[in-house]
This record gives sequence, C-alpha cells and structure tokens, in this order.
Amino acid sequence: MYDIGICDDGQEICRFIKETIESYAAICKQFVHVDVWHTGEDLKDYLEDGNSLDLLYLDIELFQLNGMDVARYIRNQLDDRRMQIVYISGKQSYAQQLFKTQPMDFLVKPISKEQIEESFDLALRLLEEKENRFRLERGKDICYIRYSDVLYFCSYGRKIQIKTREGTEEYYGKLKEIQEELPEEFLRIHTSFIVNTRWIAHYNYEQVVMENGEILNVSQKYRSEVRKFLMRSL
Amino acid sequence: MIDLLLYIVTNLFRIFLSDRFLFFFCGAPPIDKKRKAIVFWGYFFSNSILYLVFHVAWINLLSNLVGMVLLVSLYTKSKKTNLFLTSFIYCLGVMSELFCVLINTTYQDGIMVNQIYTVETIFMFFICEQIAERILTFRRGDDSVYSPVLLLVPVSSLGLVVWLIYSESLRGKNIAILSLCLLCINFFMLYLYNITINALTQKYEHALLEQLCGSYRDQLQLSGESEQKVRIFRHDMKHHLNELRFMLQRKKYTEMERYMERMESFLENSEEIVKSGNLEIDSLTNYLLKQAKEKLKHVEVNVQIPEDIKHSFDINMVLGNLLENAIEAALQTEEKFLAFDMKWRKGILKIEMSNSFSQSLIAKTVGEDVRLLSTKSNAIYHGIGLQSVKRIVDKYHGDMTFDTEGNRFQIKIILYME
Repeated sequence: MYDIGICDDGQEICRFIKETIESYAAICKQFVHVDVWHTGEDLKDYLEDGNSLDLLYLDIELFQLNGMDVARYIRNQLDDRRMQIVYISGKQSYAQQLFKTQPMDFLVKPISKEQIEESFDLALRLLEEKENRFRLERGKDICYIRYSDVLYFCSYGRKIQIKTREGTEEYYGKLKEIQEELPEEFLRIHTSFIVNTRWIAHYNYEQVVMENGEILNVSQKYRSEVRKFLMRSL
Repeated sequence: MIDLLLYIVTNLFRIFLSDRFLFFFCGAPPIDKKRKAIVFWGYFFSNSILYLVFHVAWINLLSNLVGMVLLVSLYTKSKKTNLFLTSFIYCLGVMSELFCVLINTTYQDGIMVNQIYTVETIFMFFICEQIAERILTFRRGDDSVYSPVLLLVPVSSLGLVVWLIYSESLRGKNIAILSLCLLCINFFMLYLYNITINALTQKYEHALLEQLCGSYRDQLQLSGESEQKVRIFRHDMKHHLNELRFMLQRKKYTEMERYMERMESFLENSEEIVKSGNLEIDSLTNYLLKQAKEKLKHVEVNVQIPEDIKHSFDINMVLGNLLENAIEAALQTEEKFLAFDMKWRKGILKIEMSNSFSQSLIAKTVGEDVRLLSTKSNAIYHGIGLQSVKRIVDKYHGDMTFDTEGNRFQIKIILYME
C-alpha cells in the first residue's frame, strides 16, 4: 500500500493527478492511498503529526510556504530520504537549491497522463528496493538491516563495518563475499568501500559526498566503474 | 665541426619526437610549461654533454633511459605506464638503428659513418613515430585530421640520403651538410603542420563563437518579447479579471473558456523551447532547436538543469556540435526524428541525444568504439567538432557512448560538473 500526496494550489490539477494515479494504480494492481493539499502549511502539519508519504507531487510555486521550503523541511527536519518527490511547476527554470533536495523528477505544466504514469512507475521501482534487507551473522546472532538504511560497507582489518543512519554495525567478513548479493544500487568505489548510491548527495571524479556529509574517496582503480554505473543509471 | 652540429641537431630532434609522441599518447601533461621546459632541456643538455665527453656506450644508455623516465613521469604518474612508454620509445629507437644498419651494409667511409647514420636513424625514428601515432588514431576511432603528406617527408628524406650514399655521387662532408639541411626541413615542416592544425581549430571555434553571438542576439530578442508580453498582461490583468467575472455572473461558460484560451496563447511564446534560466544555454539551444522544429518532423526536448549552472561555454560547445550533427543526420531520413534530453543530478550532467539516421551514414565498429563517416562535406570541420566534444568530455573526466539501434542513433554523455 503506497501513500501518495499531491500538493498544489490549483484544485483542477490536483484532481487530474489524483484521478490519473488512482486509475493507473488499478491497472498495475497496486494499492494506493492518495491525499491532496492545497497549501504547503497543510501538508507540513500532516507530516508533523507523524504521518509519512511514499511519493509526493509538489508544486514549486505555492502561495505562501513554497514547495522548496516544504521539501527542505522533509529532507532536513524530518530526515526523510525515502520519500520520492516530483516537482510540478509552471516554468522550466529551477534554482540550484531545488536540486539539493534530491527530487526524482521535474514535470512542467501542462502535465500529461503519460508523464504522471511514468513517474509513478519509476517511484514504485525505487520504493520497492527499500524493502530488501541484508542478513548479518554475528556468531550465533542473526539480524537484518534494511538496505535502504545502509550508507556504506567499509572493510576494516578482517571486519566489515556497516554504516547506517543510526550508527555502525560490525562483523567478521570480507567485502568480496558480500559484493555479489548486494542489490544494484550498491557500488564499489574503493578496495575498502562499497557505497549505497541512493545515499550519495554529490559525485566528484575523485570522491563522493554522502547525504550525511561524509566524504569518501574514489580510488583510481574504480573511477571508470563509477562512471559506467552513472552512464547506465542516470 | 659538422659532426658536432649534426649530433646536436639529431639528438634534439630525437628528444623532441619522443616528447611529441608522449603528448600524443598521454595528452597534455598536468604541469606548467616552465617545469616541462626545464626537464626537456635538462635531458637534452645532460645527455649530449655526457655523450660528447665520455663516448662510452653504457653511460649513453643510462643517461638516455634516466632522462626518458624523467620525461615520461611528467606525463603520467603510473609506474607501469612509465615503464611501458620508456621501453616503447627506446625500442623504436633501437629498431630504427637496426634498420639503418641493414640498409647501410655497403658503405665504407669510416669518419662520416657515425653521423650520417645517426641522421638516417632519426628519419627512421620519425617514420616509426608517425606510424605509431596513426595506429593510435585509428584505434581510438578519432576523427582526426591527418594528412598522409606528413609521412612522405621523412620517407623521402631518408630515401634521398640512402640513395646518395649508395650512388656515391656526394662524398663525406657534403652528405653531412645535406643531411643537416634535410633534418631542419623535417623539423620545420612538423612545426608548420602543428601551427596549421591549431589555426584550423581556432577558425572552427571562432565560427562557433560567432554562431553563439548570433544566438544570444536572437535570445535576447525573444526574452524581450516575452517580458514585454508579460508586462502588458499584468497591466491588463484587472481588466481581464473583470471581463471574466462579468461572464461568470452571466454564466457564459463557453465564452469564458475561449477568452482564457486567448489569454493563454497571448502569453505563450512558442519559439522559446528551452527556458532553463541560463542565458547562454537557452540562447544556443533555442537557436538550433528552432531550426530543428522547422526542418524536422518530430522534436522532443527535456531540460532539467539549475538556472545558474557553471561552465556554460563548454556545455554549449558540446550541445552545439551534437545538435548540429543530429539535426543534419535526421534531415536525411524519412522519419526526421530528434530527441534531446539534458539533466543535472548530484554533480553529474547527463546529455542524451538521439536521432533517426539513414544508411548514407556509414557506421563501422572498431573494437568497442563506433567510428562514423559523416556525409558532411566539410569533413575537416566535422572532425574538429567531434574532437572539441572529446576534449571537453575529457576535461570534465566524463564519458561518451554511442548506440545504434534500428534506425536510431543515440549519443550519451556524462560530465562531472559542479
């Protein structure tokens, strides 16, 4: 069941997007619940109460609390990196800061049914990834960590450190062993690092910057791998 | 006296040729010209002096190898590559010497043997180096402008010297003087060739810049028109709202709809296709895409970049080249299709362009690269255009891939861009 939100001060466009998604979801045999808000404040109140969304269609040019502020609130205060944000806008010109909120896509009004359906497909594909988990064996204990919570795997002596949003887990193992079973968003950037690309905020040729501010080096050996990955996935 | 001169000139030419090969193989070295000049001349002087003072084979060999390793280290940090390049250049030198020994078996005049022989070696070295460059160009699938004439000069010089020696029409000192002159001719011709290539590239870039200026002018006009329209509209807003309210009260809904459609079409400036907010990029793309929309049947555009993206000049170089090629190729097909997609995410700029293409565009697969022979008449400009694109892709540590599926040709470029 996916929670989908639409926030736009235009009633008609909200209705249009809601209807398109509900009928498309039925065709795809997905269960969705669609909520609509017409101001940024209403949406923010809803989220403050502890509710969350999987996919949000957000108008950039809302009247008071504008779309970018809402998105920043979601990413920074709520620390929600999981929500897929699709900006809808009347114009094609976007401020630099808008990109820092890591949107999934930009749609320019007038929006077509196909565009909404395509973004819905992509969002679902990205969201589904989040459910898979990594199995961690430590002696007699077995615990599971969601892949979407993992920032990176780091090898340290004979151990592997798993850096997650909450902290760090350690266990004995080798990166070579786990590399195969990791899903495709995990990328080797260094002999000692396998990184979850969903958590990368910025790519440089020699380093990557993670969403939590950490900077990891990309060793020369893996630079062309990283490039090939970007070529495939962007 | 003449020996000394010959030796100095040949040694200089040899080191110059090695440097030229390194430049060709590795690209421009990441250090400033001064340091490179110091290493270059240092190598030359130390190598020459050691040879002239000692005349001992192993000192010669050592000073050569050490100097070469130093020179190569300027171009590449990797030890493996350094070893490979040094050995390769040294081998070329040895091969050239061997070849010259083989063709000189009958010549007996002892005193001059050394220097003439060195001269022949240098010509041979030049030929080998040119062949190596050519092979590299071919393997890279480079669309470079390469003239076969360049190779003829050292070949004919070598031929001339060897023939003169064999036919014994000139003796000793005269041959030496002739060789010296031929060497200088070779050297200057190479220099001239480089200058010509640079001039051509500059001319091409100049033409592109002119086009860019023309497109700015158009864009400013377009923006001005749009702004003017918005100003008029805002001014009349109250009036329009009154009209609409009036119609609403009278429940004249269809009239309202028509009125609003007129308002909408007044505001819209359909000539402005790309409105990313970047003056430079909007200018160039609108200029070219306007032509595309007129000449082609189906044009898709999607641009999602920040309104203050940096390095717009370089981006424009790439876009200008790609769009022109794509439009021209699409024009020659039935389908006349062009799709242009540009996105900026997380520090990476992705440019994707696909167009319909016809059989008159021959595609040959060389290894993993796709080499294109375009139908464009001014092939030199075309070659330089793609070279500019390659240069910019390398500058931003990016990558470029080609794909030909069915009758669609697709280029995908990613650049690391702040």
